[in-house]
Amino acid sequence: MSPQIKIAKAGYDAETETDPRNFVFNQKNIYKIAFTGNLSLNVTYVDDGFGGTIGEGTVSFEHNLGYVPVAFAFSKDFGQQLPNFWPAGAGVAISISYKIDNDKIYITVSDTGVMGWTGDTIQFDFRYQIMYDKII
Amino acid sequence: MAVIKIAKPGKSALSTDERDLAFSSKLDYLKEQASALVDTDNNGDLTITHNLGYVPAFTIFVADYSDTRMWFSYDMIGNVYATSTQLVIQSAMGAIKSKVYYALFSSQL
Repeated sequence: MSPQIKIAKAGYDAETETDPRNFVFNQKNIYKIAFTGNLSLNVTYVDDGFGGTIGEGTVSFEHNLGYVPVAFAFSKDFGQQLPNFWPAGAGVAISISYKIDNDKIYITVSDTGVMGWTGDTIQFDFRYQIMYDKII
Repeated sequence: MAVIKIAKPGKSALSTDERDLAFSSKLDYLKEQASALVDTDNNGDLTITHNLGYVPAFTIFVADYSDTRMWFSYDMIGNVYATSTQLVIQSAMGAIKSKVYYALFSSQL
């Protein structure tokens, strides 16, 4: 049997404990942060052609890991984890979402006039955390 | 009680600021108890049974079944929830067969 390193929480015996909640470390994978940083996106709002307004844009960070990593993104403006959708009736008034591929994380804003109106330019600020841990 | 600490480069393990540490046995971590790349059914639904005995924290990413180059965070379209025995994924990429990556953590919701 190969050696094992386990650290139980205070009050538990690492040699006999079986509940994973009672370990600080139990040889299971812990997400390891590869990159963390900030991104800003300036969205310019234009006439949508139907009497309303639309503001759309995408910002990205190049991780170059060569595989699709686990990643998380947050809105610094709203203090929320992405994706985030504001509903409007049966539709969505504003969505801020993200996606990941082998090379980049992309954060996209699509706003139907919640944050700005035609002619406005609004800055959106984000925080991303990209893990070494692999999705595919 | 003995404490194991590993400092980040340039920092001291004696620091009282936990941000200076790469590891401390006084802290808890998101430990991945189970993870897998799986397929939903043709409705985008999938139920995964786990034996953790509590409702775990989890994360989900989804992709098109036939094109896994781009992955999306879990609640782009569908609905996902955990129980003490299952992780239930509904309409992962819509009502179509989809690829799902999930991870269940040791932390209890």
